[in-house]
Amino acid sequence: MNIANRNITSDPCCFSATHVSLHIGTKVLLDRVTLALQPGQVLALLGPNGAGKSTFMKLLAGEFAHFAGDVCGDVVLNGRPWADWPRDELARIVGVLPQHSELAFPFSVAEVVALGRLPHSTGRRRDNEIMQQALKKVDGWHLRSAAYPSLSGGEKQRVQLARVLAQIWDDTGLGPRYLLLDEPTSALDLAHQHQTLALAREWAEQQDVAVLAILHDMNLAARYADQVGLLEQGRLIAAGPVAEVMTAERLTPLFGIEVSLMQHPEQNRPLIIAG
Amino acid sequence: MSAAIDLRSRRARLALTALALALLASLVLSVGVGPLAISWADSARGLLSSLGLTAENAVPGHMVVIIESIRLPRTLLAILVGASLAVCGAALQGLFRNPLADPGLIGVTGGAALAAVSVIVLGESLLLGFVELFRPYSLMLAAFAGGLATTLLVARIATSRFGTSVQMMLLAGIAVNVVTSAGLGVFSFIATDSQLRTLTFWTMGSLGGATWQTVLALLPVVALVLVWLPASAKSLNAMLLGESEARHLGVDVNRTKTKIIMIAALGVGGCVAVSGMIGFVGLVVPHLVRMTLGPDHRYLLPASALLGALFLLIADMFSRTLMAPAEIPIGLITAAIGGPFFIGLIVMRSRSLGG
Repeated sequence: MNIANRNITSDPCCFSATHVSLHIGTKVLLDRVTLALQPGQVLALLGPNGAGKSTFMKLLAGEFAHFAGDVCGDVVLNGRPWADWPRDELARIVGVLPQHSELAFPFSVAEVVALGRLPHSTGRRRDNEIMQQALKKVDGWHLRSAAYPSLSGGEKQRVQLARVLAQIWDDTGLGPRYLLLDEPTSALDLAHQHQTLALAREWAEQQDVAVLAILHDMNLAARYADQVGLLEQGRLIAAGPVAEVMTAERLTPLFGIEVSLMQHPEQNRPLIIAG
Repeated sequence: MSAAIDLRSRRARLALTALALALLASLVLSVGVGPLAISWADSARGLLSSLGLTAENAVPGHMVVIIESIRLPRTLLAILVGASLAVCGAALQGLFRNPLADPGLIGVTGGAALAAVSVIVLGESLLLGFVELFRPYSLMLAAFAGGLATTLLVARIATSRFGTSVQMMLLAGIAVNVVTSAGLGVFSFIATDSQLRTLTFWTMGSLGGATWQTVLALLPVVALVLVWLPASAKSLNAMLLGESEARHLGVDVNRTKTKIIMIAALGVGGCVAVSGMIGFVGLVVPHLVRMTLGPDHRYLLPASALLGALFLLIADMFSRTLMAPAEIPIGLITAAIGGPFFIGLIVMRSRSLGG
């Protein structure tokens, strides 16, 4: 991207980071990363531990909003600079699923999911309907009356996903919606890993939501993502369609382990074998 | 419709109504309890006639005097202090996502107490100017300032550029409490005998100093607490998920934090000024409510206010009657009732969870 481009208004329809860098002290956490989330697509972010995946997602989520001095670059959401978005409107279009949740108070599962409706004023009836549907989507309706702290790690993760889905359930007229998922499958069993990412896909395709998912399983990324971004030590070393980006030449040095690719026997995607 | 959520809100409304009725009954009972026993019926009639609702001569004149000038202000003060301490405790626990965050624990009570004691001990010498300037409110102002100062100090120690750490705040609170209790020790060391007596009763907590003046001084403070804290109920609910999660849900986390810390310092400081250090209410009452109604602050805060008022009112009745004509400091009563009760609840809970 050259200087002339910077004056042109960004595409009104996406969530883009342009040349964002983040330094803490002398440590460079992100180094001129440029990446955009496109509505209707799932973007998987891959990279070894400490590559800056979570940091990048937190930056999009506004976690470093008070870090003005150390952050540079532009983050634009639906055509408006991130900083110009009022907090409550932002909360209606960007849902963030954290890696862990510290909730230790005995809310019921239904109450946790209903918290996702906080940024909206759609009324109790509608909120309850959405809560119910969101919980059913993640296969958690049977848990509705259980105390959240008593759930297993995987159940908690699904309930949190339902909360985030409830948060961006409807189009509120503020433009495309975004779903940021930080390792959404880390605590899930095999079936629920696929169910969760299939759900992300469904939302991208049917609701025109843009999904950013940090993943460790390259096969899940290859199966469910449209685009893949590879991060290494804070730099984006490649981004683009799955088939173009995921090559043995890139993945082997990135993860420091021998990676080979072959065609999946049934699906039109690469199958990644590591080690 | 979700049965789970509706059931809880129905239960909460029922509990709030029951608590309000129990509080009303205790109010009437409290007005009747004392060296001169007044029956339920006479208490009720006396109260109504004070409000101008029944005929003048419904009860003997001396009863009306006792009710109006001694027992009613004390009863009202117990209600105000109990409600305020409980609701401040509940809000701080939500803010710090820690059911053990008690106003006493994070330094609010200690700071307020130290400042108030310094006014008691030095009021006739070093701080004479301050006391004369704010006459009826000097103690309350000092307690508020002390509570706020320690809370801000603790919050500042615990806040880095990455946000406020709850663990750091609790640790800083413990450290601040060590310093304030050392300060209290120094003041009790230099105090005169009569000051020492005031001071001792005061550090154990007492509603004995209740007058209409203290009630009216505390009323606006408690009104503010009871209006402002419940207004943040939804933000507090989101904060229970974690600060980042609350931010992602559109909550202005820093503003909510500042607001709740300021109001809690005001509420606790005001109570400390009029009644000394009454512990335990802010810890146990919200806990009991949470166990029965769940952690939703929309119900937790009002229910805590009502239960806190009821709890302190009943404790005060014990304080007045157990060793009559002497009074047991109410802080000792709250600890004696609440402590074992709390331990019992914890044991029951760990058994039911741990199996």
